[in-house]
Amino acid sequence: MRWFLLTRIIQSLLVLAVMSFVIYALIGLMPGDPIDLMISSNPNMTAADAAALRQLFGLDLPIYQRYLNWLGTALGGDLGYSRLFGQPVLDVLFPAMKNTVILMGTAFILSVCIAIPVGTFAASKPRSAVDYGVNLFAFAGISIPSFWLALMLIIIFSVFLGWFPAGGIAVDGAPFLEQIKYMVLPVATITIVSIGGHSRYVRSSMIEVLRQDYIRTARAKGADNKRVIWKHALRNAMIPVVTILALDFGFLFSGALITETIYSWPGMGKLIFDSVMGNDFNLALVALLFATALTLTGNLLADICYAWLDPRIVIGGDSK
Amino acid sequence: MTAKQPPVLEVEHLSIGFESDSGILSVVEDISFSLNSGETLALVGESGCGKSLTALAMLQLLPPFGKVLSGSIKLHGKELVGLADSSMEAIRGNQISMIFQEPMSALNPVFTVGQQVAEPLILHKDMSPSEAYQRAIEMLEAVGIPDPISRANNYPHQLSGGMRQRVMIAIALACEPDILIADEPTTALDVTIQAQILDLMHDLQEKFGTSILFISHDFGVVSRMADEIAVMYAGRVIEQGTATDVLVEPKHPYTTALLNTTPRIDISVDRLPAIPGRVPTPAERPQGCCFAPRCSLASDICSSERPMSIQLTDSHSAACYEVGHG
Repeated sequence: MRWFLLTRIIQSLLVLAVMSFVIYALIGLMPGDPIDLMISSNPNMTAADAAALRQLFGLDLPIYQRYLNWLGTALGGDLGYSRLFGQPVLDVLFPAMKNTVILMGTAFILSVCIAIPVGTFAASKPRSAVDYGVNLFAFAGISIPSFWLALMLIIIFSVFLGWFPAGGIAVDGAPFLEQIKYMVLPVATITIVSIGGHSRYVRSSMIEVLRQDYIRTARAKGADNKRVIWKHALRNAMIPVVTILALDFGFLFSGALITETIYSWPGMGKLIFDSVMGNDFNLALVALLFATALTLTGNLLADICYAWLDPRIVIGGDSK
Repeated sequence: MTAKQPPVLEVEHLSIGFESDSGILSVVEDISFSLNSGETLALVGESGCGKSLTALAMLQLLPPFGKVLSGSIKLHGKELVGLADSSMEAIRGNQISMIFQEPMSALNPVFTVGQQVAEPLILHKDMSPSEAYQRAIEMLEAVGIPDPISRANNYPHQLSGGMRQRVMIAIALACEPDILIADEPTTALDVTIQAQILDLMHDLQEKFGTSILFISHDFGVVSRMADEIAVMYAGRVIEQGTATDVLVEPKHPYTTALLNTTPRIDISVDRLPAIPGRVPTPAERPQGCCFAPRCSLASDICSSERPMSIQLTDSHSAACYEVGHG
């Protein structure tokens, strides 16, 4: 187990290192650099001044050298300043990440908690009215564009009914109920959109498991339907579902761009979008790297989950 | 011989089929047999003759859309056909147990074998999980698993095929059922392991007084186990009798042909005889005797009318026009 974790962490760090270069290079390829931005806001600058500045900031160097310079300082703990916000990158990043985790985490937990029983129930009665109903709802959820759903929810619940605010986030220190009010619509939007996919995965995995011989054995032992499904089948059915959930884990931290933008939720999705559009290289780079790192972490957690769910998977070869 | 007890399990005129949009397809037609206390009845036949379906019907565990169309299944005189699910659940694993062909896939991969053997005891005998687990270890020992205490902690994938079938037997016999249904329990195993499992079933049958309904396509295996044999072909029992009746004096041409395909150690042949043709699927069964198209003795009447079962002796019967005047 320890050996497995160590190799996986090293692997993840390698991937992260490669990704950091790729992201750095891609951002470097974007038209315009910080000096262009400086010039555009100051008409007195000459081309010679710009060249001098480029040399001063090391921007005339080839990209790999610039990358290595950045890497050196970044590893030293200095991730730089955000040009847009005028604050150290991490000071901008962490509040956004906290907001995103609150939003996406709630939606993720809700979606999984609803999708597992709903998908299982649909699978236990395939082709029944309930199954068709669940399928209809699932496909609707998968097909509805989130921006449209978000707008509909705002029209109904904010404009007509006035129950929830149309966007934004509660000020720090606001009462809990107030904070919840701001969360309801964005959380509902993301949950409704993701629940369809999740319940479809649970359903199909469950149907596959219910066909297995060991389910027949369980019935032959005299286990009732409830026990067969929730005790014998569910754990087996969860094994493939974990893969899908792990892939979603990355989104927990990278945010849902469209939903966050529509509800003006100050999270990572919006931050990454703003930083790329605003040529805030430092911020975009670090935000994307964090998203990558956390996706890798999600996959690592999924591997650990497999071993916990399925005794046939032995992590690191240290079997009893 | 002691005075004859009433049979433990009595099956009368049982028909099983599948319901679909285009109607009902009957697979097993009008079969009757009875299983006596402590005895073994073997249902023998080729793949697709309906023997596994018959076995599953005893537990009311037919696959989706499968259905008992008519007939009765009586356990100690109590009708099982149409019994409510909850009453059937109380019988499964408790009075009637079943072991399956594939020990590889019949055990749940995510639970230890100890937990799996303990489960029927928790379900039926009101045992606490720890009591049941203790009993499970005893059962594992009874089925010849070495070092049962540590083996109980193993997951199915850590055991060999033979060991897994032993575990299945331990699960099936945990509640000391009256009837054990064994659906090709040794087909997936090596020959040496086969013999061990058959011996084990024999020993446990004597120890617990279990009656066994033994499903097989292999006369070699059946001859070791069976007291009575019912030979099935295309959904019907075509010959029935004591093991001696059927094995030594087979009357139905199909039984004879099937016996001829079984390799024998005392006779040397270049090539084993095979029965030409194949079993008709339920949808393409002919009007007359289903075996007629493959039968060397078939005459005109065979292909126009189904032969009825003819009682030859007290114990022996066969459904063939040839046996009447044979």
